[in-house]
Amino acid sequence: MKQFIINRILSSVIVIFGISIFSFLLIHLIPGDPVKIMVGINATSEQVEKLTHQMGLDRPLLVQYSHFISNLIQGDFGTSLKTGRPVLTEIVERFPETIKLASAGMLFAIIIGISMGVLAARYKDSLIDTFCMGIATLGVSIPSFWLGILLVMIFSVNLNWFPIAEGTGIRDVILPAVTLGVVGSTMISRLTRNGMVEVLSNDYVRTARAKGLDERLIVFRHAFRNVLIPVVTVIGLQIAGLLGGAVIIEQVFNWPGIGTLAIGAILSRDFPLIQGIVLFMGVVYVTINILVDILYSIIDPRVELSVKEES
Amino acid sequence: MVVKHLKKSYLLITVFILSMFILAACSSDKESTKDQGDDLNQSTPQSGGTITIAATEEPDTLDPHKTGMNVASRITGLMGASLLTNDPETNEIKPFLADSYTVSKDGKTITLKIRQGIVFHDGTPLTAKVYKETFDRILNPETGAKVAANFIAGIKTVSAPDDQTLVIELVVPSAPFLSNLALEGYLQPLSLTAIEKQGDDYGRNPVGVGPWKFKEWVNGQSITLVRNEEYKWSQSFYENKEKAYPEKLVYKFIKDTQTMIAALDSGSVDIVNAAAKDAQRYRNNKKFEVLEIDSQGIGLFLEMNIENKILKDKNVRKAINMALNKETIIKAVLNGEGKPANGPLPPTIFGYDPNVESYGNKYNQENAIKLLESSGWSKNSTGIMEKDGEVLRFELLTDSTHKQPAQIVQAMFKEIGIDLSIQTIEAGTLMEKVSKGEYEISFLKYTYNDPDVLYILFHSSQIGGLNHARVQNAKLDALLEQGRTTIETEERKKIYAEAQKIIVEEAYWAPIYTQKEYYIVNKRVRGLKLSNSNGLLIHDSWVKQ
Amino acid sequence: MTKLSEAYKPIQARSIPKAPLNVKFDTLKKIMSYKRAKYCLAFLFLIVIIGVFAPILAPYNPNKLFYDALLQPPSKEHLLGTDAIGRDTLSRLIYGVRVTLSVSVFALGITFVAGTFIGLICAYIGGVVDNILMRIMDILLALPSIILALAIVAILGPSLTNAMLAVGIASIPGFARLIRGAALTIKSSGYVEASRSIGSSHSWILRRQFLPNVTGVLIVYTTLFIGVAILDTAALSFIGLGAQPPTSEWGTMLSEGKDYLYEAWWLATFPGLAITAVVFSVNFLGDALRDVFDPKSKG
Repeated sequence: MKQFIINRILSSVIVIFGISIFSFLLIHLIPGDPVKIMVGINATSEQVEKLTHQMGLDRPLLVQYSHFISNLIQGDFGTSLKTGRPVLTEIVERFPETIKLASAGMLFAIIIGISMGVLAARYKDSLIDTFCMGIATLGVSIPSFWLGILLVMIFSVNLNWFPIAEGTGIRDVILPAVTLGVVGSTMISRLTRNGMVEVLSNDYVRTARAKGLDERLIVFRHAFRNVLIPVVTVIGLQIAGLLGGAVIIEQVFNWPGIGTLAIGAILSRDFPLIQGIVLFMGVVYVTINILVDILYSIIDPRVELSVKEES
Repeated sequence: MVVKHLKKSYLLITVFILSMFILAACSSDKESTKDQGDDLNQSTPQSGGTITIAATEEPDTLDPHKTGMNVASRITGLMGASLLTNDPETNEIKPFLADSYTVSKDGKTITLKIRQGIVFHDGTPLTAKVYKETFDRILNPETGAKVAANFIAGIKTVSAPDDQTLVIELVVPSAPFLSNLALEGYLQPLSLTAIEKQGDDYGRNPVGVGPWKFKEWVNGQSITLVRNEEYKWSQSFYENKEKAYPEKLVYKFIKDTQTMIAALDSGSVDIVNAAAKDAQRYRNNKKFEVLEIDSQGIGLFLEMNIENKILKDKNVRKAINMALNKETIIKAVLNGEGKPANGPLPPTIFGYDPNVESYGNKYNQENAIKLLESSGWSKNSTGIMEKDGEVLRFELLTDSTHKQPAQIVQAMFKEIGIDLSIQTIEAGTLMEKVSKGEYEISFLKYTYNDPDVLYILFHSSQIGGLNHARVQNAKLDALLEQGRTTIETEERKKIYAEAQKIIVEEAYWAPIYTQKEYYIVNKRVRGLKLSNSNGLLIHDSWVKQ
Repeated sequence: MTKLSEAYKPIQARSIPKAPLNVKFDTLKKIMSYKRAKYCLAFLFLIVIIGVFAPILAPYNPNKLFYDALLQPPSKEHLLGTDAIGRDTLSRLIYGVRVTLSVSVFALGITFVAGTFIGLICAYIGGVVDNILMRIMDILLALPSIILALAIVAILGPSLTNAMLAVGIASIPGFARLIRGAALTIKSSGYVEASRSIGSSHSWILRRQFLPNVTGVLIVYTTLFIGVAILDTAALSFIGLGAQPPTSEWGTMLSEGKDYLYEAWWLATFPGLAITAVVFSVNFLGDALRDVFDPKSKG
């Protein structure tokens, strides 16, 4: 167990190291000279040279990279070209909003996913089953940005139930979170259904049924508890997925999170910010994955083996 | 059994959803009738409340010297004030923070008397010395002032012989200089004590002398200003001579225009800068008012790189001018609410020559084709012009805001046999490429308050800057230099009339249209006015509670 | 925007032992026996036909401007209405099929070829090579696919080709991992060992043992990936980082239509429906295929 966790953390460190290389290289891969953008069109070549030197962009790559890393370790992600503020500050200010959106989205994904899954399994092969699983497939098929627009048109513009661009309170988070939740619920509802179906066909459930136990009791007491483990895992994995999904949804709902920050940064070619976001998101992702893996290996020891064999 | 049961619940859900929609339709009806009884003519301003303004862009910084963004200059303008001001009615220069001003005979020395009793939000009194320090900060290369520095570029020295007197010496006389001093955003006085205290954070904690004080900046969302209780030095054209009526002013940042409109509908914002098509929908809406004004500038023009070997030919440039059916473009892009532009200046800028309507290059496909043919081009089998085996093909470089006109122009070019491809790139990259001359054809728009804009756009010294067409015309250069140093208005007008004629005849540009500026305002907010030189005039407005 | 890796991981985590899968001639018959799969296939076939015969089927040139018919609601002349600069929405939708099809093929091609190659190499060679390649894949997987795609578009600049490339590249790691995982299970099942012991060549083992055995997984996930590719490319176009005008790409059309939600509902509605319908069919088909090839996971 300990060995597994240590291995997992070690390999994550390597991955984070790799991400740092990738994001470091970004600034060199993006076309256009970042220095020229910083000093403006009318700058003299002397100014450009001076700033290039100041930023260390004229030194060998390896030297630049070691500077980059040592700055990172001190928490210095660079300075945003647009606002002139530390990149880390920009990110840290926006990140909680994305987390808020993603967790609210997760909540809806769980509610929608589990209820659909249970319903489908309970009425296996009936119209309800087809309907629920159809909705689940629809969830991953509908463009999330379009769904978002539709929801805004219906619930904000026509019904005026939810505000738009008011702030980031509870009422504001509902529509984007539902959008995100619909997309994220697919995996959960499928797994819940399949797991439930499997369990419901087991001998002990059949016995329970034969004993004349109430069907609802069987579903909830016996079957549901048994499918929780895989479902919990998916939920863990979905957190990361939702963070990514939020990037697009944020655009539609004018949500002030990492997604709008990232797209704004790309459009205005704010290199240090793009770099910082890529790195930050990578680290967050890796951390979530480790936590999920470790948690899961605690819940279900069989996993340890299979993951080990994988890596 | 189960299936039957299910069908019933299906039905129920459908009925439920349908009734929700009907309910929604009803409730929105009710809302619009309720407002009819509203008393719109109430005219006693009430104090208190909040006005919320939507903006598509978020400022980079609120340090007016370090920003180059329009939205930043607007917001800092509310927190600041300027030496002089533009009267929105007469467009004349009037005193503001300066009680009076005199210009020396040679036009090189401007002496201003600073008004007494003005204090910054941090309590520092405003003196001539403070203004001098502000200008010095702009001129200091270490500040990195971008746009602000351009506005006072002609300054030789600034001095403050006493607390009340500010003397500005110019290198050469400059006609546009006085109107630059009316820029509340870029050229407002700054409290150096505050700048020293805040250091690098000043851009997020600005301090000015204006009617609004900085309160809070929530990254990615909004900037909140609160009224300056001490303020009593508003511009003479405002009725309100005291502090502002509302308690708070909020700028909310909403990137997408449709989201912005939705936010206006739902009441999250009160004022929206909108497109023509949206403004039209609100004209008959009882809950909203539409403010509109002719914009001071050319809304859209096609710029051509005359260093290009095909575009070097004046006939080709003229043909391009004649290929454009401006009315059609206006119909599609501006919902019909714009005017065709024939020259480089709009009627709203001083010096505009009305004769341009007659001598301008008009839409005429036949003549356009004839012009091309006279330069040796002829249509090939695919209907595209060809000369010596080379096809007449250009690339239009544009950003995403001009997607629509780009596609219309593409179709219009095709009709006279020019093959145009569209390349959409990000606005910053576009400016960089176009400034360097790495383009063939591009779109641009401008707003400016003085005909001196022609110097920036066509003078040979501006190649590499905004002279994107890369014009090097000695005669034009001389006229433009003369124009900026001539103070006498009639003479100045004549100079610019001549300059406009040259620009149109050489067809350096294909001007397309001038447009209006629209603001949709929730009628909760009263007394708001709009002027083309000053934008939104907020100080007389108040919120109906 | 479910990534392949996510779609796959839970199954991997449960580590269901997979029996070698074989694609036989009767597979198609089997697929057709699923009613919904049949309908989906028929629909997708129809879409392909529409794409191929777009010039014949479309009533107008998709880029022709009708100056006198701006923002027309659906009518006899323009069945699905016109957009702000007077282009026929139906014609643009029909031509848009071609873009969607090429996106699928192009992005899929990149992911499929590179992913399969890397996955098989890793599983087959193992050791250091496996370790290095998988760590690189891990690094790329550690970024949300949309962030990775955004980064790639930032490097390459916005265009349809670059968006497809970005979507394709962003999916390689997930795909490679999937193939590797499937191949590993087979490798450990013993009969590859057996054929090696009788002296079969490496390439023979790869071709005859590995590939046929992972075909089932491949087919299922490539089908599902098509849906992801279409959605992600549309999303990039939607935020302005994909197809450029006047390309009639569905995501771009949706994005253009979004500016006219109040005055022209048809502009955003039809492209949205088109994307949803195609991706839905693809996903449904993918699910049916999974039932065929991997009956164990079927409930």
